[in-house]
Amino acid sequence: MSNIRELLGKQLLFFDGATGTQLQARGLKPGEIPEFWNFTHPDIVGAVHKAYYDAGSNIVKSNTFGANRVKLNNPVFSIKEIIKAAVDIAKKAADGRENKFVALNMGPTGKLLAPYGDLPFEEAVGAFGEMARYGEEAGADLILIETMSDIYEIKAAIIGCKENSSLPIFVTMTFDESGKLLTGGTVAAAVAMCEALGVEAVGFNCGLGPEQVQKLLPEMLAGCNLPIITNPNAGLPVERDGKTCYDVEPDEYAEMMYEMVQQGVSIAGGCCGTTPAHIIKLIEKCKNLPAGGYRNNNNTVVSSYGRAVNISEGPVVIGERINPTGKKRLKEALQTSDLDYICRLGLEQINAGSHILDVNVGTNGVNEPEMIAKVIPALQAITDTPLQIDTSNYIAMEKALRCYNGKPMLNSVNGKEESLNEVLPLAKKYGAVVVALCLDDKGIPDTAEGRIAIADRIIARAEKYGIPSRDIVVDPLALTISTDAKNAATACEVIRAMKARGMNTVMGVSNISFGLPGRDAVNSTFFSMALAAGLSCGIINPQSKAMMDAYYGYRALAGYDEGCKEYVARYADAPKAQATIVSEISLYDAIVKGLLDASKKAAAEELAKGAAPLDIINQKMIPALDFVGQGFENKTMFLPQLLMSADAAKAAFDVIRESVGAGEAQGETVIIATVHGDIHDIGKNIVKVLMENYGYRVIDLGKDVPVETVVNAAKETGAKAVGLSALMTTTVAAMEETIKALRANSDCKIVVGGAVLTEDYAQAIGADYYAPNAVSAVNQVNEIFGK
Amino acid sequence: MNFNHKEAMRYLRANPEDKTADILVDTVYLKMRNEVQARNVVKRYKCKVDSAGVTLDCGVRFTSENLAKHLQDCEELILMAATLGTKVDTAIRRLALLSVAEGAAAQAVGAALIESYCDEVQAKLDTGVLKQKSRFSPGYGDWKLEEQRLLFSLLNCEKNIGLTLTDGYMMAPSKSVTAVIGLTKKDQCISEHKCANCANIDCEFRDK
Repeated sequence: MSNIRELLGKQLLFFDGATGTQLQARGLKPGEIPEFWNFTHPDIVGAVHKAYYDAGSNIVKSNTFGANRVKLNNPVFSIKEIIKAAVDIAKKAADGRENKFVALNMGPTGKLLAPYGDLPFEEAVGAFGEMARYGEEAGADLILIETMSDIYEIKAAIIGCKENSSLPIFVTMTFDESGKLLTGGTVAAAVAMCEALGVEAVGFNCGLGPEQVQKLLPEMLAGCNLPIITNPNAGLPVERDGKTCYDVEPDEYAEMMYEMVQQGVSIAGGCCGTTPAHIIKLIEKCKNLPAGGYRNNNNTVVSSYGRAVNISEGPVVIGERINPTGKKRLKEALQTSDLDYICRLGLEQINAGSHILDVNVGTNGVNEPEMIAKVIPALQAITDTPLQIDTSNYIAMEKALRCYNGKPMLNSVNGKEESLNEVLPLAKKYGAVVVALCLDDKGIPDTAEGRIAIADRIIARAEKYGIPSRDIVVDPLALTISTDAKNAATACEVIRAMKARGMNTVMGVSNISFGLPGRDAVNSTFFSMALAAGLSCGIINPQSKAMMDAYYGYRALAGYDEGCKEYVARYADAPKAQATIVSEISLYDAIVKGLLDASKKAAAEELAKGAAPLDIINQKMIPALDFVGQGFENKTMFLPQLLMSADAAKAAFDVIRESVGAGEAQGETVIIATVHGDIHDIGKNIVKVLMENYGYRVIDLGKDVPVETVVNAAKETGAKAVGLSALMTTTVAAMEETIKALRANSDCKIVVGGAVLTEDYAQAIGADYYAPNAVSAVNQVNEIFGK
Repeated sequence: MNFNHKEAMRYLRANPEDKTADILVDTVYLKMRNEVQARNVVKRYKCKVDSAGVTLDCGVRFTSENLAKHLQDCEELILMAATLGTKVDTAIRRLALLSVAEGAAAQAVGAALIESYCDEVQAKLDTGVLKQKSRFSPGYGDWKLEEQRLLFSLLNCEKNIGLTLTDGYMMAPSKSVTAVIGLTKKDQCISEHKCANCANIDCEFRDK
């Protein structure tokens, strides 16, 4: 029996068609668990497989689509038994015939992974990993991860399989007609990650018919070099008499599949609605065609769950600001786990034009591996801009690479032995684009030749680990011109040399001016020089106008900006910067009226006049917030006004914090959390902002917070007040549990709120205070602290 | 998809006359509309209604007196699930991070959009001579949220539209609706009092 790896991409292979539809036709009832038929009706399952093998299919999918412990969480049969039985049935149907393979079939868990839903990433990895282990033990020839509609779940499945088996992994995904996964990912983003994670074939299944899949095929062919699988449905589903029907007949199906095979498909089969008759016709029509095989795209692509950024298509901007070096406020945010602040830094840079964000969280007093594993998901919960993981701590590096949703950029590896040995295996395992620094044990060579030699060494070593050169981006290293005037020229020479051999480059541009005054002038000019030399990625501050001017100017000049559209949009179509006339208005009035800019300006003026931060807060801001809060409670003011005031006060607060540091402007500690099982947090977030505006130090534990986390936070901080939120009748039980545990471990007062709670309900579950709205929550907390 | 500005203002609990809130809602809508990836799945069943619940012809039973009352003259019904997709949730979090006012407006806009989307899906359903009753969802009145599980399994929401249920019976993505739509021969329709069958009479969103 040959190994499927020997045939893959070399000859056209055929999958089977639908299993589910076939079992339904033989009596499987809606709602019945198909995997149990491996025990109750093994003959029927075997007959379906055999019909496909007889039709000419090379690969049959085992009847294990839903056999993961997340979906079948209380099975009558164990996962191991189900998989063993299913693989046995399929092997028996193959009956030792040549070139007949069994694919261990893995479908999705049916859950959205955190932070988008509530399934922890590692639980998904465990569930898929266990399947892979049992499948290999049972004798499957390959693993097919199929009908996937979420890039993060695909990553969990691939990692689980890789860590538990050595079988070849194929991945097929379900896209809609616009080429998006159900969770919004594009074809390019999905396949870039799959290829980097080391799967051996990718493709389409389910959701669409051959006609629709054909429209998406070019994007997949261009997005990766792997053999492509197409297992479409027999057309789009049609409801008829309460039944789902698929109308594309075998001849028509074969005709359309034939065209796709000619375009470059290597494995063809079918999904819902296809039958052995479809497969027979498909094989009749296509049997003499060669496999599409592998391609030779040389693009450097990083991706997130939502989109891909192709670095080879023109220079990109990597936002550098999530890096605590020299940033007091960010250090504080990291030390206090203020993820919101870090996310805001990210959003500001995205709004300013970053294509990728660099993320570095290493600073004193911060457990870097823990912190980076919090910051990466927090950023990915709010944006699909890809991230560059920036750390020299290998433990942090692996944690970040593992939890990242997509194909990340990794900053960095260098020519030192230790770095090569530690970083490259991680980059390979988690499928990253790696930044290669041109330095080694002897330091940074003075000459371009010396740096190029190191880059070459890193590229060669990476190749040994199976990392293609397209996934290496070389950093020539910008050293300040204040110590050696040749430094700029040297960096540019390295960039040109790399460009000449088709390699991409990346550079932290602003180092060039270290120690000089007026750095923007030098930085932006150097950025233009480097871009002209061929720099692919500038790690810069996208909020520097001079740098972005250089970037957009270069793109227009170098022909990357067709018709100068981007340039015109930025400079001509932009609303004329009206001199924002912020009338002279007091901080009190600015907050009451909800005026953001006026509020910032007034706060800055108060500080400039020498007012003490606490006086500004207590004498100007809190009275304004009280006024609005009372208006809201008395129903003379409405929610939007309250919230706009809160935003204005927060803006003023940020001005005060920036100038004096967070610590001096914060008072008593309050813990807030949305309870375990509850993933809605808008109410809690409003409460948080209001409380911060009143000067409290708010420790926000987030949503879906386990009981122990709340208790530990209360014990560690000694907070006198804890606020809990629950939105649903089903999660109030978790609130009650949290309250009980808090009572046993702390003497804090507990305020509760949330849509389904009432005063009586709050009392019944043992809370001290009930807050029907955010203003009331603040009032209750004020009462606890005797204010 | 139609955007019902007035409904968004109501969900935001804004004063309908408030011009600033008008602008807030419209600004947020513009920031969100490209994030919407709306999908739906519907299935039609014959059903038998008794005083304590309704049994579908596939054998699945929903237990709720309020639902039974709502469906009392129906021999058929439609199950429906619809979602705006995960990117809307991401956008709401993103907007809320920079401004609580925009965050709350985004929630309201999302709620208005999913309701409009459901109305549009319903309007396109061909139910022949039968009229559609208003949507009735798990969690209304005495219909336990736990029965979402049954609806999810019948409609295969995860696979068909990427809608999932958390362990706490919340829907993820959050801007989503599941519902039963009764089909009746009687001459009543979608425009009947939306909240008439809900026991939560103190609800702040209750239609007056």
